[in-house]
Amino acid sequence: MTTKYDRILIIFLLVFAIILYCFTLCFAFDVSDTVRVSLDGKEYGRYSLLTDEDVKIFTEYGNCILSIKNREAEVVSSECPDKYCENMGKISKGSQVIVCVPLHLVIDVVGQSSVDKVAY
Amino acid sequence: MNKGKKVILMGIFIALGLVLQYIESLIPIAVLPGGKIGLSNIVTIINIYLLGPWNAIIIATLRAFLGALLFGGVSAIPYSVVGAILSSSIMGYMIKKTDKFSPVGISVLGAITHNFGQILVAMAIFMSFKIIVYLPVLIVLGVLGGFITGICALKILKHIKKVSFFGKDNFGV
Repeated sequence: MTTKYDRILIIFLLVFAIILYCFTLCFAFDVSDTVRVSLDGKEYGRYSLLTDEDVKIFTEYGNCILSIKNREAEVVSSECPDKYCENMGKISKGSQVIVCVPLHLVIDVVGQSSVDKVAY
Repeated sequence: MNKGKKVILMGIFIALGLVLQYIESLIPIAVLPGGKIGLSNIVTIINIYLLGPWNAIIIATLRAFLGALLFGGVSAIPYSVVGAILSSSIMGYMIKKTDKFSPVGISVLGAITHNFGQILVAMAIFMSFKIIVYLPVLIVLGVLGGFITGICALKILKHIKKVSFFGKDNFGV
């Protein structure tokens, strides 16, 4: 049914996925305490993970609310049709990102600023 | 196969792909929001064997475009269309150029190129390289989904082989 090459391909892809996953984890160790919200590839705003707040994000495609609590950020309500961004869960590390395609939003975790990175 | 027969079959396959896409949208996958098995990939693989790679690419592209309009919304169109074009051309090329892979291997390859295409579109639209963190999860999902659709395509091709309507060919199985 399946040939030898099929099995080699599947094993290669799974090993590649594991290596890539370990590689993305390496981005997580840097000091990340700020969520960055980007709209259409341009920066919309930065919010500190250290202060608990509900951030309202207004876009021309619809609005959504980003909730920051206990050093974790999460989209709690969104006006987009598919609600995938609400189901993406909480982000707190440098390698994590929330993408909302209908609202053209990318929400990721970054270090405070380049100046502070030098200070750390 | 004459031209009229081909056009009718292409229409039927687009409709079949759309129905599979609709059925798939009713099955939620918990691992990643938006993760899919890719059932309409079965239709694309069978099309490459039956109607040739070029017709299969046309069918997959039209199916992806209509499917995105029907079930995903306008913002989903570039993702579906680029994914469909990439995966159907890679699958068509592999089937025509090498016989080392069975439909299962071809299907896995198609599934991951589809996911990779969508990641590329997302990176281009959002101008963010960071979206690549989804790639490992998408590769694993692609391998799983591609395996399932590949087994289905293999079973269907074995039966299609017996039908004289499609002409005499062994369709790679």
